[in-house]
Amino acid sequence: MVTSSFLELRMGSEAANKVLEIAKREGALIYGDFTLSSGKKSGHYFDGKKLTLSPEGAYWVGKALFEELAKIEVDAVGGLSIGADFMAAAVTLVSHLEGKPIPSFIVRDKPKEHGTKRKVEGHLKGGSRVAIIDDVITTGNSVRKAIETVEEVGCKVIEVLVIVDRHEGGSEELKQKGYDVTALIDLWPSGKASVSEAPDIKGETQERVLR
Amino acid sequence: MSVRLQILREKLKKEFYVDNLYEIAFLCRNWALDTGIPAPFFLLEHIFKDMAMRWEDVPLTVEEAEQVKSKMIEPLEGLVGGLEADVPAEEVFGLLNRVTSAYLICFK
Repeated sequence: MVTSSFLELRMGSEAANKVLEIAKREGALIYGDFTLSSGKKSGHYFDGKKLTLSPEGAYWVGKALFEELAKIEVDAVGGLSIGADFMAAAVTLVSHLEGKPIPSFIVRDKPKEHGTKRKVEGHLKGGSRVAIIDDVITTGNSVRKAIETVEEVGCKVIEVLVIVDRHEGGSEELKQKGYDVTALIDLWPSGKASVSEAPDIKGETQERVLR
Repeated sequence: MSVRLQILREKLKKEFYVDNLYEIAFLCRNWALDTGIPAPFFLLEHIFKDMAMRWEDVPLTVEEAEQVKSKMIEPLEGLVGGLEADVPAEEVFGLLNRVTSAYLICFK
């Protein structure tokens, strides 16, 4: 049986705290026995679309991501469809409202089989400094695909930004490869969820939040 | 053919989860393109791809994955066995129908 469960609010930006609060309210974080895409079993599941397709969730996700992106200089932000689609739209909209527009793009998981056969839609120019976004990072497959695609066209990945880091090895592997990975929410294998204590401390996990 | 069917058997022994389903679909696609009897592999490609797409980006419970596998594994193994035994085309058609029916029952 799937049930919603506890969430802990800790230190973190106001926007990140709002994101966690809304995720809880909208049922984006559910508990039960799940089989993940990789075949791993998990006692919890984060459904990013429940969050990013809610009016309030879309706004606060966009705002939280924009706050992170405002700390660095990027030319564009985007990620792998479908997880990143609504996030890209949200952060682009918020960036316009905040007067610091950041164009966005989406990377197709598979290129269109007909027509243009484009792999990237939207605003991605070769040689750009970009941030890669995703709703959740588990093994990191989706993020890696997006990174490979943008690097193929000569872009530099400045930061990887996710709503939820499940701490299942994906973010750790990317960090080992030299990418900065920032999560708004840490979701630990135990099922505990918390706002990242200091999302601006790049490349560090914040497990101490739970101690 | 026998090597391919052995690989397929091994894949089917694993649990049904998205990455495994896509992998089976990908293999079946390549085999369909490289055999004189593409229909079984073509059908399997579409069944496994459809299943993977249905389960991608949604909370798939262990219970649901196990239920679907339990309903589909016997007809799937029957099809693989039939192909291994090189049964006549009419029999293969019947085995394909069993796989298709099992799939349609699982995903009405």
